Amino acid sequence: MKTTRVTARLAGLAVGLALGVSALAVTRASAADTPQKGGDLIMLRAEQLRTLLPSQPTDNASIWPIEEVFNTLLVPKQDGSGVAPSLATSWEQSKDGLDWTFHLRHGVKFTNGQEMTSKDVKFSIEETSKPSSPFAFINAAITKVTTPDAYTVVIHTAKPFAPLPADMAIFANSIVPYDYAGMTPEAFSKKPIGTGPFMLKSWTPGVEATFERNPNYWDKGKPYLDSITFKVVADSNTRANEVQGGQAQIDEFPAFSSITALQNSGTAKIGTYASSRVDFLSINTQKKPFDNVDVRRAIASAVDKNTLVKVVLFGHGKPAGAYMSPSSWSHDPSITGYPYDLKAAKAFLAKSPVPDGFKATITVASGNSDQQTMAQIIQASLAKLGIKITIQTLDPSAAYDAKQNGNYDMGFSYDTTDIVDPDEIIRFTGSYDGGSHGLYSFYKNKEIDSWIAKAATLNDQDARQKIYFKVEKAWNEAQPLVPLFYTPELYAYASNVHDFHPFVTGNYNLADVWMSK
Amino acid sequence: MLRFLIRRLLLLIPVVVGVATLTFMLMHMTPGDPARTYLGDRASPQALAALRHQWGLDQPLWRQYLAFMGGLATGNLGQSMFFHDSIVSLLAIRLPPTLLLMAIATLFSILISVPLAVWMALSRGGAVDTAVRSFNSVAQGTPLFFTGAVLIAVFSLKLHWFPVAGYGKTFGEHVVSLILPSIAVALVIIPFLIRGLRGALIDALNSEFVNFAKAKGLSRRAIWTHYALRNAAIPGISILGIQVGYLAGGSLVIENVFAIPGMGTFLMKGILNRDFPVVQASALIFALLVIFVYLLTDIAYGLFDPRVRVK
Amino acid sequence: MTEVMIEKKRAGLMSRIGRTGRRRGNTHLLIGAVIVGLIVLMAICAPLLTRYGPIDQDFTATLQGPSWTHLLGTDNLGRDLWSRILFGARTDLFLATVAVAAPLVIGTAIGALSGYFGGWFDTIIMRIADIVVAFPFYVLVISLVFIMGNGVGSIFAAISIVSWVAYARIVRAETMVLSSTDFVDALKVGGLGSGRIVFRHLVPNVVSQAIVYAMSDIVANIGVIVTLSYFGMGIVPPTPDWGSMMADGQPFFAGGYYGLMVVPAAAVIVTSFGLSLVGDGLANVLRVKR
Repeated sequence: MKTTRVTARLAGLAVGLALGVSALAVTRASAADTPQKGGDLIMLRAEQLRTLLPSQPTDNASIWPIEEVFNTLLVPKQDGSGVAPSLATSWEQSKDGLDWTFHLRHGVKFTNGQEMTSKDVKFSIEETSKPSSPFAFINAAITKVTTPDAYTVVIHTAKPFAPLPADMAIFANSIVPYDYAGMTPEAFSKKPIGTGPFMLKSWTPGVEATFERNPNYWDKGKPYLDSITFKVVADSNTRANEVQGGQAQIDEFPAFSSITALQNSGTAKIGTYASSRVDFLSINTQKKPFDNVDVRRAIASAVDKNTLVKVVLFGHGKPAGAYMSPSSWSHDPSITGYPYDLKAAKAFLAKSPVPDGFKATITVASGNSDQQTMAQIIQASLAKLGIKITIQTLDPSAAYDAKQNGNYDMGFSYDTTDIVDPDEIIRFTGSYDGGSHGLYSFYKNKEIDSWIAKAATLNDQDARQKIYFKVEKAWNEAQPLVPLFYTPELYAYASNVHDFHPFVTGNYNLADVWMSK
Repeated sequence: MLRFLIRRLLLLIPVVVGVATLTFMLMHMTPGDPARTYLGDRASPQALAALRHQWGLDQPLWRQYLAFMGGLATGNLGQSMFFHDSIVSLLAIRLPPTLLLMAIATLFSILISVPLAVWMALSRGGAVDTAVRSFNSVAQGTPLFFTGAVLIAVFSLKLHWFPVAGYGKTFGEHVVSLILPSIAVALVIIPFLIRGLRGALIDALNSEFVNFAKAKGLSRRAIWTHYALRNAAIPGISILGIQVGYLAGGSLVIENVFAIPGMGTFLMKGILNRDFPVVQASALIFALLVIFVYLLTDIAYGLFDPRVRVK
Repeated sequence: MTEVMIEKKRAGLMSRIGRTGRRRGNTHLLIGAVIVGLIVLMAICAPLLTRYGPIDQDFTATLQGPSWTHLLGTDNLGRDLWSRILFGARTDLFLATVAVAAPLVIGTAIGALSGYFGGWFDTIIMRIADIVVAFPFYVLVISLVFIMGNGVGSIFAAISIVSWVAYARIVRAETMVLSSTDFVDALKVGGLGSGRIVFRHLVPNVVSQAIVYAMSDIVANIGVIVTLSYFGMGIVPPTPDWGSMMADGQPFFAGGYYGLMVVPAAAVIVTSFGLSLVGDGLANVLRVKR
């Protein structure tokens, strides 16, 4: 999920004066390919780290440091095609499909010296399953966790549940020591004990947090870096400046509009990485006239996605068709959405109850220059249909609230997945009960809901894929939201940083990263 | 003097209560739910309710207000909702950078303004006078964020004289990091200060007292140090007081541009997150800063101006 | 030292913008008036001075440099920068000026009454003024923007709530001085009512101070409007405004498109420069002791 929490310009102005970058695209340093040990990496981000308790956060600013301190049983493969071993070395599903058995890695130690065993795994999963955990839904299928021996964990589900391994690779199911090693959750969240490559050294709330190398990390030889520091720099111009000035190594999420600028100078690189992110024009289908499918189709046909990609992403993305990201096997490439065609748009509108147009607002988050640009482009093209759009700016929190409560006409949202299995996101955006009322569209379709529920119980990926294609097709017909584009992930980083490559799921494994002198 | 001070301090109470009440009202009027902002889309109604309860947001508003004012009276500013830490310990992190920034900026303002004003007063209508006055008008109209951006582009990225942003780790690094932002801030103060000082100096030099002193054969130096500068110090201090007071609030802008972890960025983050205790506490701190600077100004009057020396 | 003395000093100094030689006062006024006049004229005649609408997008001509077709080039949506600057002047100047009017009127009235009557009325007004001055301005502005939504209304409200104080203080101090003179005693003896004394006789005598201060207040207002818009909390797009133009242009600065940020900045600076010259000049013409 990683909600549409958007950085305000106050908190993150657009991007910077004079940046520097050589080549674009998925550049990875080819020079000096042998990783070197040492180096202190500073990573700049817009948001602050809130908690290091794995069962609690919903924000990336907390999630990603948690992934450096803790391990999960499994990890997503970098390309998102499946999962790979981590704390569990192997796993299997029982014949009836109800039990999953995980075999744990031997000799893994927490940073307090205690060995990691099945007792810790059971405790960790149960913590995240508590209703107070915002990620409890991810474990909702689990009925029981048993521990036949110290190195074996069995997870029981009521119905066969194919996405389970993927769910064991999410940060929320990170393995913490049993009973938080005797600490209260509150205390543990500030002095975490994990098995991960780094451990917390110091933390100034709202300013920065430094993590140093775990000398006893079970993956011998790693990590390479001596330390990583996550520093909060709200203004994106300032972040870009700092990377160019050599004061920091990585800038999380530079603005797309800064890419051109970054390319022109030489001190930093830009990396664009495949991600699961899809951007949408959200439409509140509860409101008139948006409850009418032809009105939504008219809007979809009047949105020039190619121009949006060109102007907003500066060409670094693809116009979207199906609502599932192409990074997932559930994505149906044959769905191309509604092509930009004003004649067709007018025809759709003519069939609707409002053939001559109407008045509506687009809500954007203040300070989000991308949203404001998109709103102005869409405003201009909808005007040609007689649809008069007023742009309403709300501060990010109020804008979020308005979408949550269905108190808006149109707005912008995006989704990204936390797990490699499509189950999470196909519900999140496609189903009313998936967590965000269908990404704030409030669109209800019982058929789609039942298909999604059924697919999760199947083990055969081809069979699931067929159902998902059907879901995407029906959704495309109804067009409760307009998928705008598939968005790559963007980082700016110093040219001496190597092997930095975020996963499709957005997380990055800093244990692999090294710095040349 | 003591009675004066006590009276001034007592007058603080209504201001503090007023500011606290106003902040409380404003924050609770803004749309947006802190619990929802914190927990995100997937939060269950139970989780939201639990968090609201934990933060006391399920209480009626008047009760929240009383609790807040009660805490204030006992010096308890509460807990930040988002930082999971007590406000007092967060302030201990956030206040020093802002104070240091204000101090350095004030120092720069004085060091630049006083000599320039003297020079201008001596060469009224001359080239220097005209040039500085034009510069003043330009500086006065330049938005603070633009000054900051230009300073970074020139002195950090091109010339590499100063760090781009941040606050450093040691005291030396703090000072070096704050030089550019302090200059940006000083450029807002300087136009007002120079104008005030120049006018006061000219007034003083034209006064009968100085004419008399000259006639008496007092040295130029004596006239300047004993009379003109001393006389100009009073308006200078007032202007400085007012400007520094304004700038306490303006630190929001400059701290953002230079990524300084001070009160300004703290407050802004608090507002965006609807972290009520953070906003309430930092608004109060800013108000106290302004009042404190004014108080210093008033005391300084007494020190510099024999006419208002208090019985 | 008394409260009144401090109050008076502070009020007097607030308007101390500079003490200019009388002779050059008129030159300043003239130069300033020419600059401001030209800008105002350009804002009023904006549609005659450009072929492009300020919000007309052209995706075949994005991020262009200056040329004969686009005098100052275009932005990332292919909008003509020159046109946006002209129409931006309308937005910002109009709002900055209007936002001076209300505080000027309200502040002058309150200040005159407060200074004339003194007593508990004066005490209450001045304590309220203390709170307003001590309250961090941006907290007020930002909260108001969050409550009322972005746009002209919130900016206007926020500025008005804060800036009446300066006028009230200036006028109050002047009124207090005037009230203690024979002039007012004579009026009282002549049997005039308080209201009449204050608004017919006192205010006209003290208002010039406030008017001079208003000129520098417009400059301050432009600063506030531009800063808020820069931070995305001011004017709502697509209405052109210099602050949001600077914010939108900043990311392109490093790519060599300097104009997108520097041109609106220059517009702000030149306008403020002109206005402060007018303020200086006016102070001398009106013989305001500053």
